[in-house]
Order: sequence, then C-alpha cells, then structure tokens
Amino acid sequence: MNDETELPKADAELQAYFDGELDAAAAQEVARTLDGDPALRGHLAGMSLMRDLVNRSLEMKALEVPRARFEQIWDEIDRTIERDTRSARAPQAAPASLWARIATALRPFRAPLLAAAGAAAVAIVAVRLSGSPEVNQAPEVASLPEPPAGGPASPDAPAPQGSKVADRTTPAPASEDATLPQPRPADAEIHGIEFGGKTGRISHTGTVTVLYVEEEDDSQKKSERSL
Amino acid sequence: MDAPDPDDHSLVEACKRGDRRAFQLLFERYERKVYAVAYGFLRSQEDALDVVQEAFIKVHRYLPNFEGQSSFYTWLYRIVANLCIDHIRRNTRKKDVEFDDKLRHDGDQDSAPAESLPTSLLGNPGEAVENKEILAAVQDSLKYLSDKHRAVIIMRELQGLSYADMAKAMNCSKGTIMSRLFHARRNMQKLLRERLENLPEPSDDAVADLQQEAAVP
Repeated sequence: MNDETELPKADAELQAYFDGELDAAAAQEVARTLDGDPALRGHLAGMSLMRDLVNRSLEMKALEVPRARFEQIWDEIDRTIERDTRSARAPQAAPASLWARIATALRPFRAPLLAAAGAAAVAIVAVRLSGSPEVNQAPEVASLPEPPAGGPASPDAPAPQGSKVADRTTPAPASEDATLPQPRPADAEIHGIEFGGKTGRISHTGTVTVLYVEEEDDSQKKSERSL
Repeated sequence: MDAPDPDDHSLVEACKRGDRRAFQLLFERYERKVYAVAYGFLRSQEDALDVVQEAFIKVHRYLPNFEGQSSFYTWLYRIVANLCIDHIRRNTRKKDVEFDDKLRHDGDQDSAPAESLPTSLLGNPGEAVENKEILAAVQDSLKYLSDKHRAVIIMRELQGLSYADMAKAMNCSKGTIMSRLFHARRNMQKLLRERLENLPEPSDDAVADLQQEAAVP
C-alpha cells in the first residue's frame, strides 16, 4: 500500500473525523461507531496524543533559538521593507525631461551617428590640409614680438607696431570680444598664427588657451579651440 | 493549535496603511510558530530561520492583496508551507534525488489499530508532552520520516491546514493527501513506539523541570 492507493473507507472516515473534514451527518455516524468500539477509540486517542507531542516537541525546539537571532532577522526584514518602499516610490518621481526622452529614443542610432560625425570631421581636416601648401612651413609667427626700443615691455605698453602678425590679429567684432577672453600683452607669448591661408590669434589666460582662427576670405567665419 | 488572536485583523489593517510597528508586532507574535513549522519541515536551524525571514518579507509584499477570507495565520502558514516545500524541492534537486516517499521506509502494511501509538507507553498524556526524553524521541522520529510524510504531518498537526490547502501546496489530489497523511501517521507512530519502548520511566523531578522551563516565555 502506498500514498497513491485509496484508503479503506473505515480508515478514511476515521481520519477525516479526527481532522474535522467530515460534514455533520458523516461525523455523527463515525461518533456512533466509536461509542461501540473501544479499540477504535484507543486508536483515536493515539492520534490525538501524537498530534500533541509533535506540536510540543517543535514548540520546545523553537524556544532554543535565542531572542537576539529573531531580532537580527527582523532587522533584515525591516531593511528589505525599506528598500521595497523606496523602489515603489521611485517610478512616481518627475517624468523624464524632453531631452532625456529624445536621448533615449536616439540611443539605438547613437553609434552610427557618432561614427558618421567622426568620419566627416576626418574628411574635412584631410581636405583642408591637402589644399594648403604652406602647411608645413615654419611658423614664422611663433616668436615673441620685439620689445619697443628704449625700455622693457610693461603690461600697459601698447601692442608692438609694425609686426606682420600683430597687424593680422585684427580684433573680432566687439560683441564676440566681450564673450571671449582676450590676450593680455604680458600673458601672451604667441600672439598670432598663420597657416594654410588662414590666420589666427591666441588668447592665453591662466590655464586656458584659446586659438582663434579666421578664414581669409570671410572674416566673419571663426572657429575656436580651447587647449 | 492556538486560536487566532483577535487582534490580528487590526494589525493587518494597520500594516496595510503602512504601519511598520504593527508589522513588527505580527512578526513577534508568529516568529517562533513559523520557525517551529519551518524546522519541522527542514530539520535545520539556519534553513528554518531563512524561511522565517523570507516568509515575512513575502507576507509584507502581498499583504495589500490579503482580503481576510481566511485568518491571517492560516494565510501565513500557507506561505510558510509553500516556501518549505520549494526549499525541499530545490535541495533534493541539488542532491539529484526526488522529493519522494520512497527514500525512507514505508513499511506500514498492518491494520490501523495494531499501529496505533499505545498511550499506555507514555503514562499520563499531560505529563508525556512535558517529558524531555519523549519529546526528543518525537524529534528523532520526525527525522526518519520521508520528506513528504513529514510535510503532511507538519501541515496537518502543527499548522492545521485543510486537506484542500495541503493538496494545493503539494500539487496533488485531496485523495492523495488523505492517503499520504494516513501512512505518514502510521509510520510516525511506529517510529515513536520503537523509541519509546527503550525509554526509562521519567522521574518526577525531570517532569517538574520541564514544566518549569515551559513556563518561561
């Protein structure tokens, strides 16, 4: 006989009676049978005692666990609840900004776009360099301007005159000068640059150096690079 | 089986409103009972404590869905039983054996009355449940039951789950549960009888000591 075998009716009914699983009518019938059968009543008493013993033995086992161990477990439960509560609140925070949503939408195209932009930048630089025969010429502008004769240069001294480079560092429109750091004569070591048909000037302020490069044919076009 | 505490319902309602202290009270009320059940299933202190922790975390997560159709402790015990059964299944899978009855003996071919636990062996039933040696024999007998037989014994005798709830937890029919419980009880009585026959008569002092220990919360 194994667990899958159907029980004899008498055994099944007695057990169901003991476990309170019979309806009232069936329970009354079993109770009547028990009245006239002391052996069956003894069997029922054995089942009842075993239930009490199992309960009591496990209660005693639980008393062996120190209170501090349960406190430790509560602390862990408390921390988990706290984490759950925080993560439940998180989705209710402010919705993502428009830029964040656009960035998210474009995320799949980010790598191809970056690659295309990089390739375009390389191509532009290559085209410009190939059309500039003077590109390898010595940087004739990379020298300090001569101080005016008769005395050392001072911060307030006027910019050197007659220098080709100085002449070409024509100031940008006033509106742009207002937003960009301008070179101070005492700070700047190199005042201008010239290469590939373009001219430029260098502004050096503290730790920031800015290169201004102007197109010869279009003085309004200007690029800058911080070093 | 303890009667459900009348305050459980109000504590559950307070928990639903986010009262963490109410939940702590529920934990403190049931921590040892849940542990006893889990230990009955798993026979390992650390595994049983893990189940206590897991069970209360689960209870807190699902509390908003608890509608109170059954008592809180029945619901809690169902969660604990499911966790223990999952735990046993996971472990037996690791050991490459089944959660099965055939692992341990099932030699209960005799008729029911012959297998009954003779109450005469235990003397006064009231004293028997306070006798350390008898309780140790019960523990030892539980250890030798198969996982499935121990599970049905714990679910029925300790947790008081209905046949329907047990069938749901063990993923089998109600008929299988009835049959399994019948054989589990007979095996348990047989194992216990074997151990009790070798027990010395308990002294009055030993019984008094146990009663004193039991009085300490």
